[in-house]
Amino acid sequence: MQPFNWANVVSWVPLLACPAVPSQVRFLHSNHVGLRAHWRASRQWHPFSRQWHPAFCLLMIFIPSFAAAEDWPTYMHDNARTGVSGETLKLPLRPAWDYATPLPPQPAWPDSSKWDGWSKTYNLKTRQVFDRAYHVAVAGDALFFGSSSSDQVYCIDAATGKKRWSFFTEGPVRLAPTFHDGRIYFGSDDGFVYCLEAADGALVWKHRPGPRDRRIPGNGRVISVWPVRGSLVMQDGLLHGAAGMFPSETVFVFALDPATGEEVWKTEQDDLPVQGYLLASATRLYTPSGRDNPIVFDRGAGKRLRVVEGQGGTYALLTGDHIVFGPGKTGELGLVEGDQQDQLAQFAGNHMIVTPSMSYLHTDTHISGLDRPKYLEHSRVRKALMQEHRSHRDALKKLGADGDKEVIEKHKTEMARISVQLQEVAEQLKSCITYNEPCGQSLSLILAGDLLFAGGKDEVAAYAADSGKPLWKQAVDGDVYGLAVSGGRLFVSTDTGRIYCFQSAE
Amino acid sequence: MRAIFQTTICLLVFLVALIGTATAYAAEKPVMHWLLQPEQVQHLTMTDLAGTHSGQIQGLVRYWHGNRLSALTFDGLHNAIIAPAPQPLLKPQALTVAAWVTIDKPVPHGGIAGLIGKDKPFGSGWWLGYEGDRFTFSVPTAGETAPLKSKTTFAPGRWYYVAGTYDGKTQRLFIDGQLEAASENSADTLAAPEAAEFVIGAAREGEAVVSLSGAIHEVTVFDRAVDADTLRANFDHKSGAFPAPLKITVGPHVEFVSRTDAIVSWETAEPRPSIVAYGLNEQLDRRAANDGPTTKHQVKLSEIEPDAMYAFQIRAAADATNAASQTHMFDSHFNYTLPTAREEPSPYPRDELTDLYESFAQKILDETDIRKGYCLVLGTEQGRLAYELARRSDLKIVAVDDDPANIAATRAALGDTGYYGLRISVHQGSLSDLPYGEYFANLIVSDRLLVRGDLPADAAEMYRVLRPSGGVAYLGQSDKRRVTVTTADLKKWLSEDPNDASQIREEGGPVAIVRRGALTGAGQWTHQYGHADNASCSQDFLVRGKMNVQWWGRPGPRPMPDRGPRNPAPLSAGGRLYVQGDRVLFGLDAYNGAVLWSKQVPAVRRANMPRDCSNMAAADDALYVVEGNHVLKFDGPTGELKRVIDIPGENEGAQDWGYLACVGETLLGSAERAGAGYLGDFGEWYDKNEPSAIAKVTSRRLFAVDRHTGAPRWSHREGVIINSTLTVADGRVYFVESRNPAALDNPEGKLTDEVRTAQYLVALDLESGKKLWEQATDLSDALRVIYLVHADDTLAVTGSSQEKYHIWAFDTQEGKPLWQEAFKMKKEDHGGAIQHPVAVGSTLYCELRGYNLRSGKLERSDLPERRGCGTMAASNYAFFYRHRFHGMWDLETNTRSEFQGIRGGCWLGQIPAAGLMLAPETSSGCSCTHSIQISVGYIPAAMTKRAPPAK
Repeated sequence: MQPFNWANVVSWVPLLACPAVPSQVRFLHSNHVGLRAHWRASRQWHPFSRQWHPAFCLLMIFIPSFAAAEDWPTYMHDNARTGVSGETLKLPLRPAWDYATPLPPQPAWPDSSKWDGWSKTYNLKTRQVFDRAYHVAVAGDALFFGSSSSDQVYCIDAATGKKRWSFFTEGPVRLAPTFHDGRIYFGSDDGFVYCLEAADGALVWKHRPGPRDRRIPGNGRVISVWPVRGSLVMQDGLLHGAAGMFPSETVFVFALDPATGEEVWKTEQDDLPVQGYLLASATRLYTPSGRDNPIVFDRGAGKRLRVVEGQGGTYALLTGDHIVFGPGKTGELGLVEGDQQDQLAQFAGNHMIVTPSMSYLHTDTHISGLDRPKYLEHSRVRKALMQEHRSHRDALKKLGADGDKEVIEKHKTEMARISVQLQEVAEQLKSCITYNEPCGQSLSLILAGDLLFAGGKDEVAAYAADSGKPLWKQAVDGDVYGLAVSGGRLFVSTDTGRIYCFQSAE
Repeated sequence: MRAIFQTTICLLVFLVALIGTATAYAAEKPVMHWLLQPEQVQHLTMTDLAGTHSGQIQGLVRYWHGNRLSALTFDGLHNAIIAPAPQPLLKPQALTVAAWVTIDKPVPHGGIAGLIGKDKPFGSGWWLGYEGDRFTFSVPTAGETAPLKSKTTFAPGRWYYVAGTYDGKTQRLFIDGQLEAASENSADTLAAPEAAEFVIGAAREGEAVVSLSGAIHEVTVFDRAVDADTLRANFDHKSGAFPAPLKITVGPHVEFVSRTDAIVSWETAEPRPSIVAYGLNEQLDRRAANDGPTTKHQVKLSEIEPDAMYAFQIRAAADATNAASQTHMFDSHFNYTLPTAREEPSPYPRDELTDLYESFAQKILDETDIRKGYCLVLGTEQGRLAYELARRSDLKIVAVDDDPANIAATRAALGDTGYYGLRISVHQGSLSDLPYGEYFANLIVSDRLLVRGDLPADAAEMYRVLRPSGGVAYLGQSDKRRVTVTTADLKKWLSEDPNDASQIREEGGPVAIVRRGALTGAGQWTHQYGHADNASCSQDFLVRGKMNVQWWGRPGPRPMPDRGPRNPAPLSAGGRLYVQGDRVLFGLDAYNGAVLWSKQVPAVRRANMPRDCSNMAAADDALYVVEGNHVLKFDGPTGELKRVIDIPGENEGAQDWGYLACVGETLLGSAERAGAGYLGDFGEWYDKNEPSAIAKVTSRRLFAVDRHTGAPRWSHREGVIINSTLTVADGRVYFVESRNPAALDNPEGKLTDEVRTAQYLVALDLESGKKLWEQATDLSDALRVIYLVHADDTLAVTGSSQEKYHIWAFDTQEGKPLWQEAFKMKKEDHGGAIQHPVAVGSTLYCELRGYNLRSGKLERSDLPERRGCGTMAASNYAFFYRHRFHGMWDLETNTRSEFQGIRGGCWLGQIPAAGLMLAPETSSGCSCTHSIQISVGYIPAAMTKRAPPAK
């Protein structure tokens, strides 16, 4: 029996949300005035309301996202960071507006080393790419983003690109806010978690997870020793996040009551930081650890379960109960299943999009389609074979050169047999790739309907998801690290601090 | 019919002509044609022009650039191209091999291109190469055949077209199209290795591979003898594309002055125009120039793209036909200048306060000369003083106020400008209970005091956050009409610390200026191993106990050399931290990590510290750095190049400045063979007991100069001095030298066995250079490393052999032996065999053992295990080293702790100095998943305002 696959559920979201979601939910898309009041009035119908409708209770179990499909309420659309929107944009798109902050983003982390001299490995990847552009969250016609240069969170009219309001924190805001139930939640390097009214930016509450207010120079700014660099993620009525940089100063992973900011649980760790976008499933919380590998927590009680194995990186997504993360040392995405610690599969690539039937892999130069179920099936076979091979190898090592010759020979024969099988599996894995097309935009990737949007250096492009054929391209100012689709619009965030809005030309 | 016939004839004639042409062309075509340019290289694979042959490039890929062409450089260590040898060329009936080449360093047996056997005994086939400084060509036969040698002796940096031909009977050697040597040979007896490879840029000498030091642009190989006219024509065709070498006497150095502009500076012996050719993607397609002839050059490069690698070359003339420097690289990732805020009208009204703020801000900057780092504004009012300071400087300003109305007003004014946030942070909080960490502010001012005469709340709190060693509090009023504060009021704010300099001035109003001195008890780390005594102890009395993070920030891993090659240690003096990256220098504020300056210095690099000495030394006011045959004196706070100090005295051939120490007003140096030092550019680890790792870099002369003027003081020349033993303490210079004739006569600057005999421990007077004593001694067991340390009136030589560590202790007065000891090392790898000792107080710590320096008594052997490849550094109370992560051993409690998530490199990267533990990023290249890779400063928790409870 195949394990339950969250990705299958994610793809149902548009189907469930469009015709079935009550009209009260959709008003968000046309009217921002009185946003909060209207939202509150409709909350008994909304899946995120505290008074859940029974139909939505069932839905909540399966959907890692909290928003109607038309929204992009958090980084990469949902708590699984799938980057998948049910919307389809009609090409070609035309520029509608662009918004520029006075200064470009000020990323916390510089680029990686030039090479690894010991292993002679070149083209090392930077494993902490989470704040190079102003990533956006979009709810209806309101777009929200935080700034690492001006310490503010902004609300922009998604239709016009005009600023509605901004809110001042006392440190860089490096991660996109999360929209939920008429409010936005975000953390700042000043050490606080903030909750604002989405409509007018009014402060609802703020909370400092760190033990005290100590601010020191960090990444070129005077910030808290415990900056909130683990993004806020809302799941099942709890707001999860993390604060702290240096394990020697203690790092805090926490869940708050979104209504009050009071701590529900808080777990300390003294071995790894938390930096980047957290992910959540029904039972688990996943925290990226900067250059290191993600940590898995039991979301209910905050108990730390394990650190998954891999090559590190802050890019991550959930596909069901699997976590995919990278880009590792040189651009590899590792896949770890459910309650496992070690990797099931590794993909050459920087980004991945997953749908029930297909996965899309994004490397420095190509975009490819992958028959994912088949690939995983073969990967499991390979994993088992490799384990078997390893056990024979270990046995041989234990026996030593003076061991029983017959037993040694037996192990060797088995290893040879497994090697042949591994070669066959390798061929089968190759056959799972349905296409592999050149792609000149390697920095970001999302899927909207049947279109893949890829961000690159000074340009954004659209590709047909089923074939990888290029369909549309547009020049922009800067490297495109952020993409979002909502309300018939494509939002493009670049490292020069620009946010572009594109709409269908028709 | 006739027309058809004519047409057919015409067609036939055409076809015959075509076939003839094609045949002729095929005959002209080389079997292999290698153009060693970037377009032929895919990662580490080079393909020949026809695409039919490909070879693997060994070592790092770097290029030299000429006029519209380029060449692959060969580093003399690792570089070579190895390709399968085509069958027709194994024993050819005829042959031509031709190459455009420049060679920097003669060797007894060097290779340009030819065949080498894959397997032992690595015999050679036909061969174009060089012996000493003459080109050679040989087509070996069954009998002994001496290679042809050129009459031309090659000059470093000059390009030559070298060609060897063989027509089955006669072999000939042409240089620049001119025949220089010929001899008879017979194809019937040609010899070739059984299995051969085609190699470019290297030769075999026994089992060793000797890489060419220089560059190769093109190699062509024909299976026929090309005639002299063709070779001459080939030479004429390209000779103009190779400019002569341009001698740069100082530099070049690259420094960013804005987000898009960089200044390139260099010096030449003769006045010349200043021209830089530069560009992206290894192209030199852009020019920047200043026409006026000068010897001190500065050229501004504009529109530099962010996060990009640029190649650049100094040119002697605009048409670039006569001379050009080496091609260097600079990297705009290392541009730490602040983004420029858009020029917009002031957000504040032009009113009666405008002049006050503008003039006071200017006065603060002019009088304090603090323009970088962090500024704290106590009481921000409307944010106007913060704004005027930000406009006029590169300061990052933190404005704090306890009045929400002032916070709101400041944000309303500045929130939409390019200053808010990155340049001006506005915090709401108590002025008497500041939330900031200790010592972070370079400059402290008060807007509230300036306009309202209200003193900020708490002087003690202000001093808590003011940076030692030069931080300034500038507090007062300057507008007579507004003065309400009195001199008496301000006097209460003056420092009582005798290290600080306090004054009150009356200029329009009273202004208190306090410049903080150094922290009492803080140590310095001015040389590779702490001080010039090599004790690896900073003498810091503050760094101890639990440590908290004080700051973190750049530099990150990218500008640093790979962590493996035992790189020079960071230094700290005058409250600053100096970091040597991979040909990049950084001056940081030790207390807040602000990058005060950085320079890209292509000619500054040294590695393998266990077998050499550092190329940096620091004083309170300056950083001294070796660049080739001279030392650069940089101003500590600004990085401005203040002086270039050359090796004094007689010219002894090509030499580099080796040892460097700064003691008092004296700069000590040594002269070593040019190119003797290790570079570590290939990620070498220098861990194994092999000649390429353990050969000691040596000097032939020691000298002293005035550190300010460079004026010579004395010079000493006798034996061959082992650089890693040079030690200065108590007015004396100590070292180990060898007077073995084999060492004295050896032309190499790196020696192994030659310096293990006829050894003397020598003491000179630092002031006069006179020899005070010498002690003949046998230290030959110090094979893998040899160090000398001075502490507690004792000289300790330590070293290691195959399995043991050895210690020899001597009295400093006459050099009499005191005691000696040997013990088995715990591990041989990961630096286990090359640990540098640490001397704290009267104890010498040598790889997990502590001995009394005077008696040799074993005092402790309970040092905690060390996991990692580095060596140790100490304050008076704690050791710092790599133990998986940044590690610490507290001497008082004998406890070991580690700072998880962040690690250092493979030598000495954590230094206890300035009352802090400073750990600039040194783990670069580590592909392991350490979660944090950045520079960090740590402060003892006991020195912080609210020390966290012990865990």
